[in-house]
Amino acid sequence: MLSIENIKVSYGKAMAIDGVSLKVEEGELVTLLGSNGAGKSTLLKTISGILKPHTGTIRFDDQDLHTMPPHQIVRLGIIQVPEGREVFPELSVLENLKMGAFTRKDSGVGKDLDFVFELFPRLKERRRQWAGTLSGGEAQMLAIARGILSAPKLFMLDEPSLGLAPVIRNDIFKVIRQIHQERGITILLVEQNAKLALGMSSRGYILENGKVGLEGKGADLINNEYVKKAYLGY
Amino acid sequence: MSQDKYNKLWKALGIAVLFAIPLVISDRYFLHLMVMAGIFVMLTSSWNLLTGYAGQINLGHAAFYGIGAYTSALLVMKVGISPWIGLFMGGFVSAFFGLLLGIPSIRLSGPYLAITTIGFAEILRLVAMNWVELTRGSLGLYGIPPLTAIKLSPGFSIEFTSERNFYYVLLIAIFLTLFCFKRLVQSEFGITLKSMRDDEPGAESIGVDTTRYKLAVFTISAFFAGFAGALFAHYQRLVSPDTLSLGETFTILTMTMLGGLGTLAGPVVGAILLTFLSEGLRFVEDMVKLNVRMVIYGFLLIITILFMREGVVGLFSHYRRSGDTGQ
Repeated sequence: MLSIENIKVSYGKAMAIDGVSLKVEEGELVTLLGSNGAGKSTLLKTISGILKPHTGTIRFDDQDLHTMPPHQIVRLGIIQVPEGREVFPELSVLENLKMGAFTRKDSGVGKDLDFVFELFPRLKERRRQWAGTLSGGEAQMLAIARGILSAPKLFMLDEPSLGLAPVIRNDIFKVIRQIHQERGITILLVEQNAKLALGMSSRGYILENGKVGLEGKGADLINNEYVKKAYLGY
Repeated sequence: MSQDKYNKLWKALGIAVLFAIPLVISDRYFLHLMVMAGIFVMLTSSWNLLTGYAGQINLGHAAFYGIGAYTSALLVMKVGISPWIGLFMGGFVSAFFGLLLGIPSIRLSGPYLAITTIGFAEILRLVAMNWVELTRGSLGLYGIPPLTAIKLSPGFSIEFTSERNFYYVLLIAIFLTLFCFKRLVQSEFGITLKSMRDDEPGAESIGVDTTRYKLAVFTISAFFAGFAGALFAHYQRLVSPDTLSLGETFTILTMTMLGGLGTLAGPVVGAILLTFLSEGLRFVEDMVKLNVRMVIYGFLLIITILFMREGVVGLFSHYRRSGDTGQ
């Protein structure tokens, strides 16, 4: 579905991604692990078209993404939930969700709205409220819900558990698993929480200094000695 | 439901009062102020759409106003078209310039865009100042024909030279303008504009082609500002380069901020309040022989920004932007 071949991305002279190749097949849940500055967010931004690679190709089905502007990439069904729960603070929760369905012309929006309100009853309670008044966890829920309303084919989540209380973090992970299994949405998940993320992933990649350090099945990576030491802390 | 009925009743009553004002009060000076307030209502509302809703800081809005005024005046005087058509031509030419000013907004935002828009307005002001053969320079264009009288039957026609009749023209124009803006702001288009204001990359990341929306909102906003300018030209029957000045833009800005930026009612309230306040201050100025008007504008702006971000209408929870949006 998504296939990245040997891309290089840099911010000015600083090389952030130095030759990464990566694949996501339809129906997979793939985790991208790595420490701060490894290039995870840069990679997602490059897939979304916000950053452009110097060399290499990004293909989605039969389309070249690396030459496409961001708004067209979204129209292909590649939806990113950015890091730091970016919602539109001065739009109501419902308006935020409607913006999620911005590119859609089909009639399934109402049904999807019911679906996300079922996933996150809190959002239903607060649908008329300004999104800026939500708590951190609620805002993250809204960001994910808005993504679901975009009817993603490839759903990219950038550190959805960042800075959340453990209880809420578990809820978020539960929902991610649910949308992957029940709706069959392909997911590319960027996480620092290696154990939870790898535990539910089909496959994982570990980025180190802009390169792929390791790749493999989620279960294999959890049991890998190096991963245990460096990312799981035992 | 009864709440809804009440609202409708209040609205109907308000409209009736607005139409009845010139019948009850015949003081020409008062009606003149109402007309000027009305022109500013159109102008501030159009600025508010661009800056309050879409977040595109335009400090050259007076340019659109001036373009509309000069276009209509010149076309009527030199080409001889009807002033009624001139109003729309003023709007369209201004909209074209709006589209042009929209182009830099694709890459510039915040203070950089603001400075660019100031430059845009200043260039046009200097053109109006120095192209003496066409605009008569700082003397301004005078003797602009009024809106042509409408003949209802032989011997009976409606003239538009009096403040009272012009007031009605303006009232209708304002209703149409506000109706358009209300529909725009509450539609998907409006939500999209607000999302762009809140977080531009965020809006792009969910598929908004921000370029298109920016150009569209600049064009629409400029159209209404130009239309207001053309109305002014045929009312005042004098246009000078002052209409394009930065001071004019700051009057628009102060009115909108005071009333409530990013709300529909805000510009209306602000424009009426400040029009009457500034006339009141004129008497004070005559007494103290000092230009206190701008001092007081500045003071009001600071108070608004410090203590009532949502302006006067924000004080009434019903019209608030925040909290329960009712959407």
